[in-house]
Amino acid sequence: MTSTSPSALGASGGGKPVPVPRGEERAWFDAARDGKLALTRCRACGVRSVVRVVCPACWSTDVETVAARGTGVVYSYTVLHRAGRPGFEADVPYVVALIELPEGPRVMTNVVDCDPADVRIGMLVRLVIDTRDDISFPQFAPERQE
Amino acid sequence: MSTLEQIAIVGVAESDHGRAPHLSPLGMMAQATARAAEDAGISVGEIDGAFVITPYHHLTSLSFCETLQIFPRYHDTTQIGGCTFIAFLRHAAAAIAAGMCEVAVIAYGSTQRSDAGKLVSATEIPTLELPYGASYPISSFAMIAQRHMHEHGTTPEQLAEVAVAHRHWASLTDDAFYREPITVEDVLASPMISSPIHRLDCCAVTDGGGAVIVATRDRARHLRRSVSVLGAAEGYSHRSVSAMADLTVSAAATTGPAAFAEAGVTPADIDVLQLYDAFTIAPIMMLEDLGFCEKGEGGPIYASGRTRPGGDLPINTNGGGLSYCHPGMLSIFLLIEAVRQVRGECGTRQVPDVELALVHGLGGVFAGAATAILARC
Repeated sequence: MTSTSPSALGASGGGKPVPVPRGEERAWFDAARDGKLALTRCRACGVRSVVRVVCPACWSTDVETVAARGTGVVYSYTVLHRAGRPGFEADVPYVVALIELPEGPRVMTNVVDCDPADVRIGMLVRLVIDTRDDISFPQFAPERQE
Repeated sequence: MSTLEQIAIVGVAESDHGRAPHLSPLGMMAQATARAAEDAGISVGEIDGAFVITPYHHLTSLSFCETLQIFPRYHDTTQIGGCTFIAFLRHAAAAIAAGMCEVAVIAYGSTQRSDAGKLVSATEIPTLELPYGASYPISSFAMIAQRHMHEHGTTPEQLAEVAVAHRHWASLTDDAFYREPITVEDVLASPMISSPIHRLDCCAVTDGGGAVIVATRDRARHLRRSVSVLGAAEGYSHRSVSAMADLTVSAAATTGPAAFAEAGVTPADIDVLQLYDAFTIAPIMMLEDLGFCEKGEGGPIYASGRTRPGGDLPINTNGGGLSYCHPGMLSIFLLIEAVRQVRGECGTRQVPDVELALVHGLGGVFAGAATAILARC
């Protein structure tokens, strides 16, 4: 229904948008470059959140960046049959999902390396990393059963 | 006297809508305001409070007021999404009760249909969500619907019933954008956009504007037809769907009870509802969150036909955003239709003997929320 102004999109990654992180957002993408999922841990109350400078649970400013375990569960998902943004036309159908992390927060991401028709709420997933231009970002793939 | 008891809705009007390439967003706001003033029996020049927002204008109120050459002493350009115009009712009441203004206009205009394919909004996507190709706002509503189906047994057929029911109402509405009746099968056969949302689960994309004039009770007594606001509330639960604590519960669960408590009435007292139907899941969840039924019963209510013309729970009596008109931010149209139903001027789609109307809007991806309960003065 609405579009985004070009200035918010950043550089072009083969037609797909590439984020331009600012400030504390860089921790998220820096961690991804190292193969990790960054969370903010509050030293005052222990609550983990997604890249904040103030703990959203107790509002302490005494926070640090930690690595998440890298696992999660599909909380909800949708299969896009029409590209949600320019650049994704060749990817349809693809999955956008909310992953619930064992540390608490939920993150929006793609579920990759599987048939979109196989994705289910409750599915166990693990962290994988994709890179577009120079920006790395987290995605998730089904946990392989041994 | 409470804040809301000091004000009344004294005039409402829409601009030309549907396809209106002859009007700009400001032109629509101006046309609707002039028509609403005519409806109220006042002069546009008496307006001394402006409550306006669009996705087009950085300085919305200044652009709007300049167009009409009015010089209000109070401005409010709150932006909590498509429900903002319902929230403005409460803001205007507060400003009027505080003596900041006496005659407030709430106005909106959008050329979303005529803009097709062009940039129409400054909506930003959170940096962390940008890489994933989600469709905004469709994919967020899709994940809400998916979770609701998982937890509460709502079915694609029940979602489709919402589009079917609202189209029934639109078929009674001369100026509705889509008037041809549709079936559940039509909805399910329409292209899948972002599962489980099909094309016909989505609102229309139209041009349109509207205006609502709110004034002091003293002035309202001298005006032709007035409608009271018995209760009103606003709230929010998140900005991005990733921060929505429970995907099956919206902030309507807060604003609904607050509005009912202020009005001193219950859901059973409401004669007609206008609910923000951006996607078919929305009014189902709103019925549940506002207290009209338990979780999981919203879909079955729609499937029962109770919300259609002649039913005992009439919802979106002009066809709503799904069929009547949806120019980006719907709630100005929900308000206008609620007022018209209370005033009893809706012709073939008029619900008999309306004393109480509820209007509820969402903002963003089921993020903002505003509820109002209207009554005859």
